Amino acid sequence: MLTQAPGESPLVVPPRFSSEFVSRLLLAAAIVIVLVSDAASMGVSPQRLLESLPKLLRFLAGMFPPDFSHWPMILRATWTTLRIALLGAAVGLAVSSGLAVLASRSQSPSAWVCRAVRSLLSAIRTIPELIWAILFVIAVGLGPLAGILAITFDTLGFAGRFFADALDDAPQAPQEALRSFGASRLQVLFGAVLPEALPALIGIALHSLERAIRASVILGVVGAGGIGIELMVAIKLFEYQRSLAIIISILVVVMDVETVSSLLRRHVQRTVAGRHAVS
Amino acid sequence: MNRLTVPAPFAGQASTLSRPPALNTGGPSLLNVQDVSVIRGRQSILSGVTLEVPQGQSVGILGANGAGKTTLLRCCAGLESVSSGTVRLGGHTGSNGDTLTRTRVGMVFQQHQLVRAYSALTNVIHGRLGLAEGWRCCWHVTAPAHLRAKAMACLEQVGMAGKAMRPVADLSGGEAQRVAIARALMRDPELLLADEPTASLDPTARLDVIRLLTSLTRQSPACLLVSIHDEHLALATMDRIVGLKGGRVVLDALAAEVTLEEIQSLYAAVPQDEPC
Repeated sequence: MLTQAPGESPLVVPPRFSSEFVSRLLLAAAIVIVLVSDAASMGVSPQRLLESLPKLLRFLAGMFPPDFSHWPMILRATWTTLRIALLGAAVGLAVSSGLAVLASRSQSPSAWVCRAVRSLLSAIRTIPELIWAILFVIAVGLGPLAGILAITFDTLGFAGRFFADALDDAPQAPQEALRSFGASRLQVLFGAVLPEALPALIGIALHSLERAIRASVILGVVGAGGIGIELMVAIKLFEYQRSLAIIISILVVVMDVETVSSLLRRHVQRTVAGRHAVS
Repeated sequence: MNRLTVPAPFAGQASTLSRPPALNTGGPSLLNVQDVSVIRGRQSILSGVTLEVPQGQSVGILGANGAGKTTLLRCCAGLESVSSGTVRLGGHTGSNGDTLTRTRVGMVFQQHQLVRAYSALTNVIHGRLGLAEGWRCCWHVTAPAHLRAKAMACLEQVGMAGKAMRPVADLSGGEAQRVAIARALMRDPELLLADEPTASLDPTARLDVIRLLTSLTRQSPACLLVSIHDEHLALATMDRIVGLKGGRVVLDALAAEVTLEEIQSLYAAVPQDEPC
């Protein structure tokens, strides 16, 4: 049994709740109170949700069974959606790779260029893809081109920033070694930075592709081509069974792309982790 | 005086080493460091360092952390400017970022500093970056045929030709350091510098790497400067020992004439008012 030696000061048990903990708890409670009162002021209430439930169930019941009789149209529109996403993402990724080098703190030719390009990418990122789509529908007219341009800009804002961060996160030691040999900035970029950052860049590119697929579905709603426009028409004509068939097609495409993307990403991560484990 | 008989942990291996007689330090020097001082801010890093190294000689630079070993090597490589004094390599005076100096120096770093995602071959070819064929040397696929052949010869010299296409990430620490040495050899260096190349290696790999560096130096018209912490290893393999303390050279003698006490005194605490 442990006993306290004579003359030793008694052990002080720390308080159960520190003042810091209590202040954080009060802050969290204040945030919850503000959110709940704000929801009430906007007419959001559990009672209203319960009243809407039968209407929602009626709407869902009206969707069954899904009507796949227009499958050639659904297939064609789905294919268009995929092409919009792939083309938009490809162009966006290509342009963002260049901009990422300029936006990277370690690779940019000057701090001024880095700040300017980062600000540009932030500005692009703050505009949602739907707004880009509306702008491009106005600029180039209805159809897939507006969708491709909207996806391009959306990808640019997202991938440009994260590509730049990945370049900054590349290990510094090999870069220093190449610089010590007198390698130029671009030689260091191609010789040491890109190969080391490649797994991260591939992961970001696959995320961008997933985002592009999800975005391309919704873009059709504002007339930027693809299956979204078919879904909008079906809902407006109260053809709920047809709209369910379209939603199922969208789900299949999005889930397939996400599955393939996850597999590829995991493969890249496993390869990199395996290499690090060996050495 | 405590004469060194090959001390542990390399007693077994070192007894088989045939350490050549040290070259005459009075001969024509390849590297000539004359009264070099380096001051950063208000701190003196190196103070009046003078060193002459002839062709074929292996010099072990010893000293506690902060003694100025790395700074001295970086000054010799032309990577750092000196506040006063001169560094001459084969008669040419170097300066910070001097391309001519850089092309004549091969440097091996503490943590190999290779590109882990690339093969050993590509990393060795990287040794030619900054030279005439620079751009094509980012990747072995784009490198000129004669440089690919030269890189294979360098890998062969360090015993790594059989693993030329293995990614560096798949190599052990000792193997990676061998590839780093091959990368330095790609530059046909007159001066081979190694900054604590054995710091992250196990004792066997340490001896392998240092033995490789010294044997390569003897075969080539170059000289070698190695910053090293292991006094046993330094005494067993180097021709000459240079001891730094507080940025000053306090020991400079042939390895055979150096005592363990002399080396241990390098690691004794430096008084606070002394620069380090």
